[in-house]
Amino acid sequence: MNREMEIRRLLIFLTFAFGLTWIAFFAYIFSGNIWMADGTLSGMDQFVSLGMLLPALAALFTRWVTKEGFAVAGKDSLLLSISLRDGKWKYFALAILLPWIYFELGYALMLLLSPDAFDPAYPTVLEMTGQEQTIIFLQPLMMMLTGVVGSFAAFGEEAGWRGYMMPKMIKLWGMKKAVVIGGILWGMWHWPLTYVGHNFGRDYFGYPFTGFAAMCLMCVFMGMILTYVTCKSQSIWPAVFLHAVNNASPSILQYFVNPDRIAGWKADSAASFVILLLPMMGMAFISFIIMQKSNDKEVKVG
Amino acid sequence: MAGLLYKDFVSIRGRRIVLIMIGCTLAFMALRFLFPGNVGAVASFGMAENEAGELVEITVGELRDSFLVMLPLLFMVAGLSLIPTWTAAICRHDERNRTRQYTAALPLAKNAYIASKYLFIGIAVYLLFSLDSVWIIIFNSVAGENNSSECLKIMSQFLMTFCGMLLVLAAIELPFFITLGVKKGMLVKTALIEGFAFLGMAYLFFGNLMIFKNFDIGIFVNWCEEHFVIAALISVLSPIAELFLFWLSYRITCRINQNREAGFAL
Repeated sequence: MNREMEIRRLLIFLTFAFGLTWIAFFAYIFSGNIWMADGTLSGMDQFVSLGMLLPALAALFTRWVTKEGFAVAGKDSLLLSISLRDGKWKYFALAILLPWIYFELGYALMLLLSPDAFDPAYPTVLEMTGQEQTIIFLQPLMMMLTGVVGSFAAFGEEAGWRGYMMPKMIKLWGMKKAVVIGGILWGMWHWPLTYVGHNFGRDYFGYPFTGFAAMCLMCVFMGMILTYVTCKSQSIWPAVFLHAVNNASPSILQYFVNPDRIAGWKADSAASFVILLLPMMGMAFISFIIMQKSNDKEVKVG
Repeated sequence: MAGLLYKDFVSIRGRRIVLIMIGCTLAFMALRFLFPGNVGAVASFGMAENEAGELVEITVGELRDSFLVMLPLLFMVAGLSLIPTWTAAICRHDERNRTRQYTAALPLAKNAYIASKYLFIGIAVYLLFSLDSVWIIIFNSVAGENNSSECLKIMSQFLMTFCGMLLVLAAIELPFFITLGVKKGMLVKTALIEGFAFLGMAYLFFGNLMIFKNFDIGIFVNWCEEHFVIAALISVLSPIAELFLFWLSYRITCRINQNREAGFAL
């Protein structure tokens, strides 16, 4: 492996990924848009979410510039192959189900820390009609399906970060450093949107810097799970599905946790975000340990 | 498998189609941002209803807005109608070049050829669904709150169901094309289409035509909003059922073709 060339390729990719996306994000910010605090998405918010496709475009541009080719499967490929053999189907199933499990555990943890937040009447507070309330129990299934079928936006990110950046970083610096550096870079990529209130809103302690830090922290841990399923399945598709289902936030319990009843530091949006994702972080750490143990034996990307 | 999929991509002139679709999407995005705003009325032969329900001539601005509403819908219909033509095209290309006999001599899994056809159509439907979603997002980005964007939101809720129907259609077509060949397969397809056309004509003669007179997309949108649970159930469960049918069709085709000789003639 030519280290210098690999680093140069990585830098070209990062320039494209950050350059293209940040142009779009800054255009969104400078035209006076902000992310709604109540979680509703305006048409323009959805449009700027299409920026998720740009890391994939950056990976394609980089491959074109560096003449690395566009192999679909195999060594140094786009990792687009789908194989369910040799138990690889497990990683697809895991990718679809895992977000539901860690979101339910996250909300359960929130309730454990703030028992008063449990509010069976919260759906009514959310102005959900009787019909909408009956659909609450179908929400995880709906989100998992919507996530998988409508995963093109997550595909955009994963084709860039897990399909191009991580294999290069793992080759250059090994799993441990790659996961940390890759996660921080991925988190930084979100910063313009974090600044305008994406994920945490703008009303939290230490805005926007704690938000930036929380985003990087979340991306490092999330990156561990996504890298794990990519390595194990030799395909980016499980990571795509996991990312898409994660973004759809499948959970029944979320409709019974009233954030207005959470007091103290736990009410801070950045802090509650970290609490919510603590179970995910635990799972990520376990997957990281597994990857570390099998690093030299079986885990290889590209 | 990747080679078989690439061959199918070449046989439908995939590169050209991809370039056209990217071009159309960029052009639509440019148009949408050049002409943003609230879409008040949808044109119907140069006339639109005002608030009192009277037909009035529409303005150039309204005509432009209507054009922009119709574009994503047309693109959706046109894009999705490509799938049935591709189903026949990929099988016809293989017959012409005797690809199936050739692949039978390659070190591929037994069902690889059949799987590649199903996978190709599955990927095509996924890509078109994604592209349609992108068009709807582009349209809604600068539309504001209005009836047309509400209508498109409802349409997008059922987009998965519509796309799944294409999988069902392919699930019916592919076993015939793969097992009997394109020529005989097309005969069966034509017979089925003509059967449905006759049923349609019979309905025109003997059925209740008031349905067409009273047809209004607004009624559908209102129904979806009123029967939220049923609409949500349909939009969630129908794609699962459609995917199951698609998989079942694949298994049946594999079963029918499992004892086929390599040198068979279609």
